[in-house]
Amino acid sequence: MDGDLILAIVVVTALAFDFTNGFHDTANAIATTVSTRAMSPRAAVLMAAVLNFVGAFISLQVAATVAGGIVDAGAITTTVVFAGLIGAIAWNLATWWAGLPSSSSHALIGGVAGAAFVAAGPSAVNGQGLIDKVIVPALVAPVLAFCAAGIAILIAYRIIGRLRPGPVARGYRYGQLVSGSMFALAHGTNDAQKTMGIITLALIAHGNLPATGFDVPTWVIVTSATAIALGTYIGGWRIIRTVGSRIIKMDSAQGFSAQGAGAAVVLTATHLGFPLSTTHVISGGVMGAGAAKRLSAVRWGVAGNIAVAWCLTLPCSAAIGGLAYGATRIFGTGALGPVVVALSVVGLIAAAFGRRSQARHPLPTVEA
Amino acid sequence: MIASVAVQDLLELAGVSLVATIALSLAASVCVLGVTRATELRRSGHAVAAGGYAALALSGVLVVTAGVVFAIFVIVNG
Repeated sequence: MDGDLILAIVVVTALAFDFTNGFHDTANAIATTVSTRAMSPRAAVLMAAVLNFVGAFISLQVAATVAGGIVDAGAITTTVVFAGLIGAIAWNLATWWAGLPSSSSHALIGGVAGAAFVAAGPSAVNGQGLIDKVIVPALVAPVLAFCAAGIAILIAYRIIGRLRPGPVARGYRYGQLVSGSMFALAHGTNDAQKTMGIITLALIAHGNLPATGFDVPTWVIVTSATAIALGTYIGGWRIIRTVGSRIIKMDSAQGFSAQGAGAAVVLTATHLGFPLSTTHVISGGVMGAGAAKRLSAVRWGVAGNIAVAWCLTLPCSAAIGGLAYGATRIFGTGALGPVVVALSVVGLIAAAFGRRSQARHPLPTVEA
Repeated sequence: MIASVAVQDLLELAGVSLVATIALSLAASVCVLGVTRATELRRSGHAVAAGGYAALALSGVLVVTAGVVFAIFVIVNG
């Protein structure tokens, strides 16, 4: 009974993470589209939500990697998965609050690795898998997107350099409908699968699925796709501002190049089973498209803040995941620990959002 | 440890991403060039040259469309 309750809490928490992933990472797909006015914000968010939903159905390579390649499936429990999710959600909300485009993927992987480390010791974390499938691609992908977008924009400027800017901008705005759609699809194929992988991991830990040779259940695919699409539709406007206009002030050709490079990198990585950070990729692409035009066009201070958030994501989410696991163990091994931690986190989030809302709309003072 | 990383996969990631991005950018830029020049030439009465640029734009659209379809096909078929 306790086990079933913990599994239910894990599934709900995983879907909550997927929702935060959607609204945190919406910026990836549509920030450049919105900032160059290729689409209205509402239409861009709707397009991203629909394509994220579709993308979640068309590949399962990354889900398999998350479920089997990074933590030892035999050593972890549903409580570990729950604690990992808490680490990821907490870090996602903290970086969203600061308007920093950090990686939801690395937050999730870090959270689960940290919780597994505290629960079962260092042997529960597949260090080689972490390096091969997460850290090295995390270092390579933004550099690759930077270079690809830089080369792409140089080619574009070479071809369209002598044309009148008005019709050119209009043409690339149409191009951005294609590149933005591809990036949103790529986001769905890569990011929704991380939640599928985590729920699958919980089902393995609970004994509903075998540790090897498993298939991701259909209900997991449908609910994950729906959660990320809903989160995307709600939208994360703070991060859209950072990616879309604070790193560089971009024209539509740069937006097209950044999104095109991002889509190419993420779709290829999905095909190869790398759980890549779409945030890192699009940020690298935006910086590349700006730097190729003029190095000083990139606001390197903003880029530096983003890089710091990237570096902190894995260790911080791992630390929070480990702490959350420790907190659940205070209440024993049953369902009470996850219930208390989940309610505490919901309370903290509600209090934080309540304060923010009050700061924005202060109550009118009553005059005597 | 890093030596044991799937170097082959990373090289494939780098190669395919770069080639795809460059091809997409080239095709889209040719398309923009074709449409812009075709419009200008048509307005100035050079119908034949405008037709040539329109054909160039169409080839750009076809390459972009083919690239998108190919990418989705590869992902769907794992």
